[in-house]
Amino acid sequence: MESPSADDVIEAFTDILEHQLSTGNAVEVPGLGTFAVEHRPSAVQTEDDVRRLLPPRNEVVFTPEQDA
Amino acid sequence: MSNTSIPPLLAERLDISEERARSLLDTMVEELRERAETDGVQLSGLGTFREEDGRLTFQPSPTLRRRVNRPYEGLSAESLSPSAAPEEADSDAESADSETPPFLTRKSSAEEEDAAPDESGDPEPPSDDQDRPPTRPDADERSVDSFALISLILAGLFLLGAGWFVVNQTSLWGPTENATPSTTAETPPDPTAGSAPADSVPGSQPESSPSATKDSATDSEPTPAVRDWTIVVASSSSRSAAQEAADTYGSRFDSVTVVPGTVDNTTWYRVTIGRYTSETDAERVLDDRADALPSDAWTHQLE
Repeated sequence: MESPSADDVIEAFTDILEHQLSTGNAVEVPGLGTFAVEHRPSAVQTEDDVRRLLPPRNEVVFTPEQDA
Repeated sequence: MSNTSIPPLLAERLDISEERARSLLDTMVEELRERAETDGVQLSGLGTFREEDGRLTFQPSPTLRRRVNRPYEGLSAESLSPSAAPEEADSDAESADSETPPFLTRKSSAEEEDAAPDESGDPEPPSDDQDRPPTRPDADERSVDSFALISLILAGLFLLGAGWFVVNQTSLWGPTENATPSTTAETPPDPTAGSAPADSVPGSQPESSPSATKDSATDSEPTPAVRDWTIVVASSSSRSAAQEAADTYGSRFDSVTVVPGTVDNTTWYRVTIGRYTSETDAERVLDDRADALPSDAWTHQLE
């Protein structure tokens, strides 16, 4: 079996992360940290007397590994 | 939300052992952390890693942000006027509780207004009175006007009926066989009367009926391709605001529509342009017409 190249590893790493996060799963990468998706509900934001309605959204959150 | 460990998935994807995948991953992570300490590392389609104040940070790429926000694509922040804001917030809260779209909430308040004249005893307001404001003084005036109008209509109908009776009895239009067509001519809304004149052959009536023609036309129609992809150019939690935006784009594009969608139990109205059979087609138009579209226009698959 041929050993995968660095590009193959990076591409697979990226695809897996994208897929897992888009389906709502958190991904733990040893030595790096944990990627997760957090939901932010719709909210009214006030700045300089201007009120804005923010739509709901998902946010990618990264928590670095402490010991690394 | 489940927590997934990446080495087994990487091993499966690269068709290697998990031990080998873990080794390759360690090498990649070590390299990534070293580069992040200096000028950052950008992984295409994923994001950028940087070391800031001794802490590793990650900034997701627009592609990744879009991917995790598929259910909310095309939704953007909107300004609320100070007076309208509480109402909007209230309607959102109501819709979140009862899953009732805002436009239905507004409709129910309109129904309450329409109910006021009924409570005052107005028997049947004519259609030309519907545009009047439903205040009680006007309702009284309308009651008088309605009575006079109905009386006139009844009197007219009576005179028509009396005239018809006299004409039939005196046989002014010849034999009674011809009286039937004249009656048919006075009732144009009845489609069966029009398709079945008195001298037509009874057996031919079902074959020439409009419904039969309609059925044969329906059978011959080809099945259209599913065009469930579109381009979202604006969004709002208010239908009227979305319609205003749609009117703006309507002068530049052919098929501009406002599409309601429920997100987090709240109805949002997306302003969409075009219908396409695939995401690729929608993205091609997005690229070709980039100069006429807003920078945050997104492709979107309709449910």
